[in-house]
Amino acid sequence: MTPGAGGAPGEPTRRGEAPHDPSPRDRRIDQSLLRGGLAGIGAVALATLALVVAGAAIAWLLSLIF
Amino acid sequence: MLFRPDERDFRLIGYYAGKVVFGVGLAMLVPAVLAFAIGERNDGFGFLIGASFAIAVSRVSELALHTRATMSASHGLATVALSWLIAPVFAAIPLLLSGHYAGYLDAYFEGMSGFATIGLTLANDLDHMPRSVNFWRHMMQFLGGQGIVVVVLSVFAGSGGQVGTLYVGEGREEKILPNVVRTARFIWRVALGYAIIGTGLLWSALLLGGLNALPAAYHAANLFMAAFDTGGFATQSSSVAFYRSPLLEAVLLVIMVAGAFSFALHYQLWQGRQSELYRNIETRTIFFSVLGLFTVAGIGLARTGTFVEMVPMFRHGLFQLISAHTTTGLSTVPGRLFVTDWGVLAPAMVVTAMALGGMAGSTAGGIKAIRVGLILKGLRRDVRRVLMPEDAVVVETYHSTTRRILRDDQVRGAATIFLLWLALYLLGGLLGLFYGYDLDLALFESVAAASSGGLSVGLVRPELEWPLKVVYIAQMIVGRLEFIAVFALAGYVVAIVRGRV
Repeated sequence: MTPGAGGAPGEPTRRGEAPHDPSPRDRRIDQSLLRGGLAGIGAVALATLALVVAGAAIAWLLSLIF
Repeated sequence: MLFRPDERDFRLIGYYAGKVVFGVGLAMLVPAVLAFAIGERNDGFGFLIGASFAIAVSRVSELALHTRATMSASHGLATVALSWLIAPVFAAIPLLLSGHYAGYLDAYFEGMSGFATIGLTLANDLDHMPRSVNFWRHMMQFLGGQGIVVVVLSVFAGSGGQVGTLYVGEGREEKILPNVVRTARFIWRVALGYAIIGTGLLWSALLLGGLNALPAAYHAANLFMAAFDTGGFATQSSSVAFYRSPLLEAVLLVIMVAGAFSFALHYQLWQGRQSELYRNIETRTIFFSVLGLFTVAGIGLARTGTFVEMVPMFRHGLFQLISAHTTTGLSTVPGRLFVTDWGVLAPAMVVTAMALGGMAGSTAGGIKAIRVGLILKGLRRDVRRVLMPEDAVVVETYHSTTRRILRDDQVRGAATIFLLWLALYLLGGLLGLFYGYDLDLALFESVAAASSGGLSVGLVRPELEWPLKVVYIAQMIVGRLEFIAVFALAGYVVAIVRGRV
């Protein structure tokens, strides 16, 4: 078999790189990642919002003190 | 035992570095097409010259150095360092030919600043730079930013053993997915997801701000690349202040934070494990660090009376601190104001934020949150050991994907790298002092160059002394590659110099 020219689904090639034909498990991971993408981006947006809200609270407190 | 590389080692390193040069040459064809499409013919030819040169050199290296030898960890590290050194050699050609740089050193500086996602610029008359050249500056940041993440996750962490420990200083498994190709594919998928949504939101904000559709698309694409890859280049000399849009700044905040998050964390979030956000040692460290630094900066700004009202202080102060902490370098205030109007405390906090940086395994630079977090955990453990009875077993844990027990070698590794970073920051600062600049200015620019923070108080300009330009370039690559890859390349160079080849 030519190195890197395929093999059984999910089987690593000789160099240990990616399988050329993703296994069912790999496909499931890919699909779950796609679905989770929006949720992941939303989570980052929420984390930033939390930072901004906390920053606003600090700025407000400082404006009361100074 | 002496390190004695032979001809096969150099052949291997040169061969793979040549492949990177080929990639740079191909990448230059994108702005070339843009240049011809929008009527910037001279710049289009500049890109074609640069691309031809890069592709020709890469083909020669492939023919002359072709090898099937297996790459070891030291080969990989030296190749990465060499690639980062020579990529700007070719990328600088169209920059120089654009006429916006005083000389080749300035154009090379800009190329390194781009690929290393720093954001410092030596461009003359940035506001009138051809759009294709400006696009290339931002594209370099995108390529360099995504490239460094792939390198970190595949070459550095994948090499394991001493290299992995010395690089990360954290002893955690950095691999996101079982192999390099799937990891790289995930990284590009995340980048694409953010590119579509981020550019779309930036474009909308710019439309609302009054720009027409096409200019808005151009600015949005460049802003996205600068923010997500924590690069900090801007299409205008006044950076983000040019747009005067709080909505745009809000979108940029999210994109900058996303850029400073490690791809391992993105992977967890994309798999629906949102709890990782508040349990992860790095997110906790960055969250409290940003707020702590903002509090002190706010006190400084309030005491100096820089802002009369709370809202602008909050808007500009928080944006600058997040921009600095994520080592992006986008700015809503002219850099010179840090010195003239911001007093002492606030700029000191901005420098500290740049020095600390983002997460390991992200496009951000700096010391990195994981190291700061581990050192603080180690400190807490030591204090507890002192307070507890002598026979008590004190165990400190931290969360990074899973709950882990803190080991001594992790804290030691993190502390070692921490010290190396401080030395790197001081190096540029001392040279700045030597050339007669004030300590605060010299240190600010030095940290900006080494940490990839990219904010500037105005020292970095075309008239800057050339030794300082060279040192800043060295700081950029050492900081970007986090020492170890540069050390590996230096090992090969020293072997040549000492005749051990």
